[in-house]
Amino acid sequence: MKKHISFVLFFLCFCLSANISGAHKYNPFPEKDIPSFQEGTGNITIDAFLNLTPKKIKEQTGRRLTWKETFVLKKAQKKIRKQLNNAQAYDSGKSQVAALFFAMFLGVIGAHRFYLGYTAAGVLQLLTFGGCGIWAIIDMVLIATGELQPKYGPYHETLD
Amino acid sequence: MKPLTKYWLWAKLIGYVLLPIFLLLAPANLFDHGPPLCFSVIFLGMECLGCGMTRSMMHLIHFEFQEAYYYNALGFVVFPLLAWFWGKWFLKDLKKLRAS
Repeated sequence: MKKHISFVLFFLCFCLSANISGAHKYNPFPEKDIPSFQEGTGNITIDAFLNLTPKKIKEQTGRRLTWKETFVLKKAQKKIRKQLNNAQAYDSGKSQVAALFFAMFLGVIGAHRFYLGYTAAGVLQLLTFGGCGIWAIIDMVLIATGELQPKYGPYHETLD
Repeated sequence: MKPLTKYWLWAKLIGYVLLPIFLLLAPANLFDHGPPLCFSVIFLGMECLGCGMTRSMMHLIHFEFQEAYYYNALGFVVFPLLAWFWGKWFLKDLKKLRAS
């Protein structure tokens, strides 16, 4: 009986200590385990990072990347490029007038959709001749009423 | 066989031999820079499965395997197939020329 009680007490103490002290001390990202690509080179710009290849990294740091790191580097560059593209697309001014003219004269090949950034719909319109002309007319009205907005951000210039 | 066809076969055979030699002598980063020519990148803005294959091949024949993997991992699959077909096409044209 005494043995059992002491065990239960020990267990409780263990759980409490784990609850109190463990939460503060546990660090999921210990500093020494983070691999560094920048040893000796300092900070690098985004452009430099996007132009990095395994060969360049080896020339700069003398360290040969593993296959996994090569894969991760490629994925990271792809993601950053995508985000940069989206950010630029948000700032670039798309004119509603230009979109309307595109829909009027080149709507049959889906030019307004390409212009506004809906590339997949544009390709579909290109292949179906603007949805047999009907979709193009619908899009023309939607653009004129301001219902169809550019994919990334609002119009830079509007009709009125 | 027409003489023109014969000249064409000769040109092809010489091309099969000279093109790999030229690519081997050229620097490995010959195609690394410049605008993308893939229609998938130009129109849809995303890379297809074949994007980077030229650069991958170029680095593979210069024994830079890591770079080749970086540009397109499928290059390791495509290179043996391409080498096999390259030899096959060469022998095919050689047979045609001998038959004529």
